[in-house]
Amino acid sequence: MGEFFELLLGNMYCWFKSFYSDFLSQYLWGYNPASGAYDLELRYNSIGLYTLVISFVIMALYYYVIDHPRFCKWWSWLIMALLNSVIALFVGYYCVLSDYNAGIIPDELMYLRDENGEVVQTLISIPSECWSFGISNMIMAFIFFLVFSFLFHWWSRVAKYSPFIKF
Amino acid sequence: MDGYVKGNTGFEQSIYAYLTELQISKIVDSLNLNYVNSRMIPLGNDVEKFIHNIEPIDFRKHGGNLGTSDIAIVLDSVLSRHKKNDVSIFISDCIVSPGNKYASSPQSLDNYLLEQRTKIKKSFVQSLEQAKGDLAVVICHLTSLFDGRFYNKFDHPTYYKGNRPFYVWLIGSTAHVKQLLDKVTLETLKGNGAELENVYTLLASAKKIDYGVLLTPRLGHFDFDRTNPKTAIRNIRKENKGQQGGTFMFSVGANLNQLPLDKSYVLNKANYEVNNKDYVLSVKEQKGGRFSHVFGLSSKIASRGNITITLKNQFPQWVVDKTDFLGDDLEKDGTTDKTYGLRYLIEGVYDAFTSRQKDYAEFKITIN
Repeated sequence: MGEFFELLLGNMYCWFKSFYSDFLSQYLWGYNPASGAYDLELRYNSIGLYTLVISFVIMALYYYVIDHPRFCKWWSWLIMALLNSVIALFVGYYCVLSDYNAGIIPDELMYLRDENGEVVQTLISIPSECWSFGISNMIMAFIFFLVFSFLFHWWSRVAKYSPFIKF
Repeated sequence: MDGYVKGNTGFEQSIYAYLTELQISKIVDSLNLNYVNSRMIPLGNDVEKFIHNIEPIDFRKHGGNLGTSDIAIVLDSVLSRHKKNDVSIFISDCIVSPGNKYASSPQSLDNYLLEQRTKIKKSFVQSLEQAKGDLAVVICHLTSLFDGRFYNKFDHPTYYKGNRPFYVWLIGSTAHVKQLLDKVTLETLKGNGAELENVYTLLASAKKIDYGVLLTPRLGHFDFDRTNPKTAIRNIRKENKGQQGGTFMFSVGANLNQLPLDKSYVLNKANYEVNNKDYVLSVKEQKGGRFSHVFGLSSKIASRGNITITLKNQFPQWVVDKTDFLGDDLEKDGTTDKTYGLRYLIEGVYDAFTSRQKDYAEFKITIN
């Protein structure tokens, strides 16, 4: 069960793995080519956690801080959802880029080298894949925001029927 | 061995060069030099003095029985003195000499040869047990000028002058033999009047070779099995673009440089067997990186299951080719470049090693 939750975020991110390369995905899973094991930091979890927290905060802001009659329609909710997604886009982009700049991403995942050590192919294209992962993080953030909205909208004063239909 | 050492010969010079290189490379703490026939006769550790005192007249001075030499007994005596941190270097013409008592019953010669093989097997099995399975033997086949009396299988002498084979055996733990060969290569035996013709390595090693599936190079797609990412993969898919479309390929890295094997043997894919015939193997050396060699396994079928890559210990054809099966007259039989009984001696060693470890190495990958 512990492993299920440990891998849950990573498995969810893999729904959108086609946006970026398998090599970046392996890095985010914590794969270490030097040991052949998954013993590096599970970045899916750390980035997923940032995104979860941001989504929760934005949700709480909308339903319990703003909670205004002039800002409680479906389009208000959508603005907040989009805001959350855009933040997540930059979070995803920045996390991967900063790992690259810090030299944390293993060389064997970055480049394919020949027998003499010369680069024959770049496996993870920076910064394009940073944006690609950012996009997948953006979609994840939207899903988190939607789920949090569904779970926590009940106690809002005026916004609780947004974006859901009023019963 | 008189014919190899009369005067200043290629045999002497190549051994001198090799032993000197061992000393100056500081790979050895000490060299203990011995002359061996029916018994082991210590000759100190001065290489130059040793080389200058191995003339035929010196052999007689040192004593022992210079006549019929039972190679199995000689090897047993070398192995019984061998200690855990030693590398023993045995140099001999390796000619099996049954002696003139077999002249009257030549049909018993086969039994004698088979007995030699069995005795050698027994000696090496005991050594392997003492070494807890960690033992390597490298048998080098060289040729040098021979000028002297050659004794056939019945001890009848004839004069011969020309090139004749001799053998240098290195015996020690896999790691020590590997270290020795890396520091002082077998090339040192060449070019001083002797020629290195062939090498055969036998080994049994307790230490597992490090290997694992690599992310690249590959064709198509796979995921590592998180429960065992080094040796298990899943969700395999063939490549769907370009010229390589329809092919699945993955790579396995292995540290084959842990083994004291000849480079060309390791890179020859004919020396490997893959149990799953859907996959075709390629082998490349890698400079740098975690592994010394990379296997490529490619398939148009991309079947799942267990794949075992075996680096086989193939009994070398050169041993059979260089065995004199007649043992009568070198020139009349055309066997000047062959050694009587060689195959039986080396088969004895081969049987001992393969009874413990059939192949050099095995690599197992699971495709789920």
